[in-house]
Amino acid sequence: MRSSILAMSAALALAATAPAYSQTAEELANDEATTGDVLVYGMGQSATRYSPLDQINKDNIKRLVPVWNYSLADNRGQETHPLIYNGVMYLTTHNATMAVDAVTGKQIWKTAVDYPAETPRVACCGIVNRGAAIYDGKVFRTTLDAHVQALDMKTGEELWKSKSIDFKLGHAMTVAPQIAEGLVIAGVSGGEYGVRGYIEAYDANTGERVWRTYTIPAPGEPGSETWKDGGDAWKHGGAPAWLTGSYDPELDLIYWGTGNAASWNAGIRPGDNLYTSTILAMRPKTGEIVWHFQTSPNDPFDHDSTNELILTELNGEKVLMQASRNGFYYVLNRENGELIAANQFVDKVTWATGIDMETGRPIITEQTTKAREGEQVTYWPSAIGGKNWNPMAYDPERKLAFANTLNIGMNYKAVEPDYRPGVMVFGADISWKWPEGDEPRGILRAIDPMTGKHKWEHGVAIPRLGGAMATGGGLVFTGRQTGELEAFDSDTGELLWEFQAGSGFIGQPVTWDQDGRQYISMAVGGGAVYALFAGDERLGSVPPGGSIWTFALLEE
Amino acid sequence: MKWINTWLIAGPALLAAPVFAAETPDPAKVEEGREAYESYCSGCHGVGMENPVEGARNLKAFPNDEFDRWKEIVAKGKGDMPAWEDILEAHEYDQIWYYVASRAGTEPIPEQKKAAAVENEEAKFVAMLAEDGGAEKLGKKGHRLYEQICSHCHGVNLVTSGVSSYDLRKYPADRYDDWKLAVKNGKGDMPAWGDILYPKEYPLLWYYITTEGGKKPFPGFGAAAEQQSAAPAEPELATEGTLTACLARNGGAMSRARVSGGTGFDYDVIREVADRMGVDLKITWFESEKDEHSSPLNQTYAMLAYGLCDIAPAHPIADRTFGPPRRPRSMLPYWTDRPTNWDLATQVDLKPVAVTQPYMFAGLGIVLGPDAGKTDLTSLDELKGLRVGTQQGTLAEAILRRAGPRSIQENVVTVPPDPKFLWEMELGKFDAALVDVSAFDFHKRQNAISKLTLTSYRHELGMNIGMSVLEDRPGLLATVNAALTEMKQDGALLKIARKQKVNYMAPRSDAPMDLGRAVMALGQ
Repeated sequence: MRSSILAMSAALALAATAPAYSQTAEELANDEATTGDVLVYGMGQSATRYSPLDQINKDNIKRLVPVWNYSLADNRGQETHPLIYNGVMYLTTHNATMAVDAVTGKQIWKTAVDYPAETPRVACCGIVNRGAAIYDGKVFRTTLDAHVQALDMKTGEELWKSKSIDFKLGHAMTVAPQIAEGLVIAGVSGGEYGVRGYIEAYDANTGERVWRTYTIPAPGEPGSETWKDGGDAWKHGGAPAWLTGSYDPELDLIYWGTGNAASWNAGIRPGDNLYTSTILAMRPKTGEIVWHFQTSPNDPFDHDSTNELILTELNGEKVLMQASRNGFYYVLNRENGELIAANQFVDKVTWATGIDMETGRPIITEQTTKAREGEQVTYWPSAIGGKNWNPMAYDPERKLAFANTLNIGMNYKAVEPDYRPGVMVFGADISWKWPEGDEPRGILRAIDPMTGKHKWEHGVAIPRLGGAMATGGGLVFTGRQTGELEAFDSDTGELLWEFQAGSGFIGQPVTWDQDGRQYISMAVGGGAVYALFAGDERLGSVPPGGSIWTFALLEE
Repeated sequence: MKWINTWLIAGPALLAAPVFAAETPDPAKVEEGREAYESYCSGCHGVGMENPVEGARNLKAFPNDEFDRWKEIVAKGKGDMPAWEDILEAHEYDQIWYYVASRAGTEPIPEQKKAAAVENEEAKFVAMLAEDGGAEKLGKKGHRLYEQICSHCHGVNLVTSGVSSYDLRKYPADRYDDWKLAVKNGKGDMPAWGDILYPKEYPLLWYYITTEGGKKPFPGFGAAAEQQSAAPAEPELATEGTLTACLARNGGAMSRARVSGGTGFDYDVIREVADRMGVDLKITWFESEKDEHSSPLNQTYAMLAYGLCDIAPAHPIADRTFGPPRRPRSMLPYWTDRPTNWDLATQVDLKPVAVTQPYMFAGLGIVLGPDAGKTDLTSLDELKGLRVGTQQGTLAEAILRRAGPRSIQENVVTVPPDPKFLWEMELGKFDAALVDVSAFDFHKRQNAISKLTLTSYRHELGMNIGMSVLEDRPGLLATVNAALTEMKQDGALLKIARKQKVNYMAPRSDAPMDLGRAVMALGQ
């Protein structure tokens, strides 16, 4: 009941001011059910990225054609999640926020983001932004130089901008904010810069910070006993929170994943290192941690646990699911954090043989022990993970998750970290270990959450690093870093539709309907982590260039 | 003499501050400064240094005792500010500074800070590099620093997909100063690192980047290392005012002796280099040995060590073709001016050799004969159905056998190496062959009615070609490098190629340093 009362009061409070540009907590909560809009990162607070829309389906997808393209006027990687409300699309890049007419693609307003020229130093893996949040007539976003900003939804005018922290010390923000209890919730990036991570909340109206929960406890706080080095490791211990959490208003819990422990030299920070590589359930009002589940204790391998947390029901149980960087697909009871299933979803995992169902801890191999002791090892999956940040979609009808998984290993040897504020510190000598011969580096898989096994798969030489979206039309939308946007048959994995978008795809597809027509929309523009770090010269022939493509069925 | 201006005089001059300190600013000089300021600076920094446009610095707040730093920023640009060095005359810097430092004539100009006696980190680095194990140690350090500072935009191990960041492997190796400024102050989308990097770290990064982690010869720091080093950056020539070059008198399209002077691409290039150095050119013509037992490389080492010449063009750049000699002594080849009583069995002591930046690429192309039925092709696959000739033991043979498509293998005929190979093609013995482009150029030159055509196909394997000098002549090396850079930039190399009718290939940044291994890798 809590949510509806809140929704009513919010709606009443706003009705008088800007009716066409308001949206209430109730609307946000119902995003998944209302197909005419896309209001929340992940296409709903459960982050399923599933829409029941079926106007575009397996039978007519051949008629899917572009209806407009909008230039983002930016050559960086484009990861933004478009939001659509009342026929207006809200978009972000690292240097601008935009409102565009969702049907014509014409720009309504554009507001530049100004950050100091030095800021890109602290973006480890691409100068990107993953999208906005909308609520209460405002558009919220984070900025690379670690600010949270609110704009007027109608005009793009800045309403407030709050500094989260000094970016020069290695903090950045790329996350799309989350809205809960009238608060704008965001997390900080910087795991490779030795920051101490946190998640925090701002008052949506004033921009005042309401709470901040550090993801690494200070000495004396609960969890601090898991930092046994007896020194300052916790101060630079990582656990950033750089991907948007999901939200269950009924349980009054938000769920966020945290990133890797820093530096990657695990031997010099003995203990489990809470709350690094951990799934957190928190009270949105206070930031209090209600339960936690750590996927990679004392992690040497950059196995973040930040990946999206999908909320659904399985066998009558309220669950939360994550295809984790470490190669295991976790299903947890989201009321109490109890482990229900944890199975390998990629072919090759060498750092652990499985997950102990009693304790939830990984059953590590000798390799992990050796890595911590400073020996040279080659482990799978690599630092880029069995799956990277690129969100998967979950089709509740078919009970399948569609994820762009990765098949990449890494040569690793821990070295003494050379910590310098604002500079990347790995604490390891690393290089890629690519799969042999013609084996694909990336595989789109339709995964059964309970077993981790896949029903079908589609491999590619240059891995896909974009998000996926599933629809009631029996389709899975995603795309390639070489520019092909794709639609697959959800049941068979057959590639049904392809469109060359002119630059690499690492974005997040969304769909909505308006005036009886279903639209598919996504940002295109290559770049970010793989393009920067993999040294894959085959991408050299794919030009940069950000834009939004929107598609619909060719009218007969 | 243009090059001298750019790297000998401008460098130190930039750092030499005029004497400004004045109790009361001289109104005439303030006015003079104001005029210059209004013409160049006020557009962004505001009339009277008031109301600068967004992003432009408030010059009234610029420390008015730091002329050196100010001048460097103005000359080279910083962030959004453009570089003015091409536009401003030397005296205009002084004039504008008078206006800026006197706060438009309202304050006395304080004594200028001496640019901190900068330790020459570059010179120190060069010394460390020469130490035992120095290259490996510094290479490793540079690599780690690169991974921390640069890799997240420019790619791990320098390999970038080119999606949105500059490919540093293509950065001109003779522009250390520009590179350093860009890193320090930022450039375009690139942030400034000046407040993070220590001075000694620039040479480390530059070393790692330009050698690609030890794979390429280190080009040095150009003028930067010499500016403050004791040794004058004079080109050390054996005979003052004359550059003596060793050229093969039977070097085909590259070099040939004539009754008076010579001809060929290398000949014209070295002549142009001497012209740009402002010195005379003298050629020591030698006979390039064709028999397989002699090593041209050892002979080059010997000629330089014995002092037959200051420089030897046509020097292949690959693993162990420069640096310390591979053996202590070697014989000299025949050379035209040798004493009549010279004993050719005489062994001379060899010395370490350094090589300039490459000025050309020696590579292979497909030549078609009169009966080929086509005049161009762009891949080895298109050789299908043609009679393909190749000479035993050549790079071309290895490439065709290892990497040639299966469909052409049965049509490839291997013959013993033969100077008449191309002549026989004229007669229709083969339809096609993969040959040195320069061999084709020479053949074409010798045979005005040739029916052979060179196709647009070029194989990626080959070698960059530079010029070698003794390692203990860094001044000469830098001078020639500067001249070659200029010649690349102003098109002189292309002009020479056109005049000499050679199919010029520019140096390749991806030229293999180990050709043998590159050939082996082809088949995999």
